[in-house]
Amino acid sequence: MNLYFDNGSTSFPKPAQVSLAIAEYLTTCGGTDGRAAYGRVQQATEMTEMCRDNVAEAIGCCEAEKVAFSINATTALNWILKGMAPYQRVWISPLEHNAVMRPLTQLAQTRGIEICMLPALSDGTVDIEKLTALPVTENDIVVINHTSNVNGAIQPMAQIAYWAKINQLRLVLDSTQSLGYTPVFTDAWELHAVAFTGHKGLLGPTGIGGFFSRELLSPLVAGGTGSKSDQYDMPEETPDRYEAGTPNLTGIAGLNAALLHRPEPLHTREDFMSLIDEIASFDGVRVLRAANPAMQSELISFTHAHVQPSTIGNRLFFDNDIEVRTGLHCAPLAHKTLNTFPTGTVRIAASPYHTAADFELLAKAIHHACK
Amino acid sequence: MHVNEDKIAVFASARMVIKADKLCQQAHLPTKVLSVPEHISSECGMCIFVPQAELDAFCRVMTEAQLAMTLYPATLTTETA
Repeated sequence: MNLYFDNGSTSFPKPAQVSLAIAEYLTTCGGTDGRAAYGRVQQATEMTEMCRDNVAEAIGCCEAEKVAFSINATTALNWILKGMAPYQRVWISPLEHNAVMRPLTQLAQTRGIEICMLPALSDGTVDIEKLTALPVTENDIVVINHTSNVNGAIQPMAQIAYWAKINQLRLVLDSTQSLGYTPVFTDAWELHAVAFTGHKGLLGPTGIGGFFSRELLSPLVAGGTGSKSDQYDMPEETPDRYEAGTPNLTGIAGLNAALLHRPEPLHTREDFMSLIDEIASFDGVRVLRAANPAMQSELISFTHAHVQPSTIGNRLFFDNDIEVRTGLHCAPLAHKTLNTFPTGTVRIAASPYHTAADFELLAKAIHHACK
Repeated sequence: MHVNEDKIAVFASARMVIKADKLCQQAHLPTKVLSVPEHISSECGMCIFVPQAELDAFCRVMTEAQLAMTLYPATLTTETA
């Protein structure tokens, strides 16, 4: 049985090829990236660029040279939000993670930017019909968490992107919880920037993520790139401009393998939706989910009228070896939006490796833990 | 021993060198990835050595792929090529 249901934090298990690729890199290659011309470096650099191409394809982007690697989506969002040409106002969804809220709060304190909330429905998804009335200006930016890490609601990106386009707003997408599960169309949606991570929906290792940016960002980190080494300024060319220091090549090896060997799900969409309905039928349970089932990812949260989330989480683990996450999930804004602040929720996030039988066992365990 | 008309192609990033090298392999061009020679730049990265006889074909392949580069004489690199 697969009793790990904390794939919203990090995915497990990974495709077998991920650890094999990491081991192969460490035992047979071991070269650095782009800083010399001997075989190991060529091999490592080819691997890095293949991974970059595969990430670009995964996010629906034809300009792979504008995709940069960093250690995670949080770092990537800091690169984007702090490196874009100055803006005075940012519009956010009410389901943003602290990976967005904390950098924006810093910018509010240091640069005086204004943080404004987009109108939303009760599940936190953006209310498209109310967008046209907003007093936006061309220099504003918009930041959207594609899939909430609290209720799993998927934002209506095509419509948001259309609104951003006609208002000439720079649209930033946080694809942390969506990439790998929900299609991302960077070019078709004309996204200005996208942050991604490798270890969640893409099923890669931790420590590797990155971003795409249409705009040339101010470097957040400066240092050696293996190019223009006679200059103290960071190069203008991407991706070098964004990749000072030796990259996480073991992470890149693993992420590339994950992108090349994505497994077929061992359960159906109906299996997961049935799980939600079953949990929602338990006495005292409130499930946090998308109002429109079509916009529901395979991640949900729930609360119980009388049993605290931490108690439920402890019971699931100590009685059944089931691993879930409880609390605020680093997204206090989402919890305030969904009226679960400050207690938080119990979160369940599936992976392609779950079967319908795993869901049945989970449902029974939750039923027991909530008594 | 190469003559002085051999060239070194320098690109803006290692990514572009890797792309260019792959294209050269596909076109069966006998180019070689080398460290950037000091008489061109104090780079610590990669460049591509292009024999004179293959220069036209190399430039054609790079142009078709829209890979921008700068060509330098390979004079001081003949012993490594």
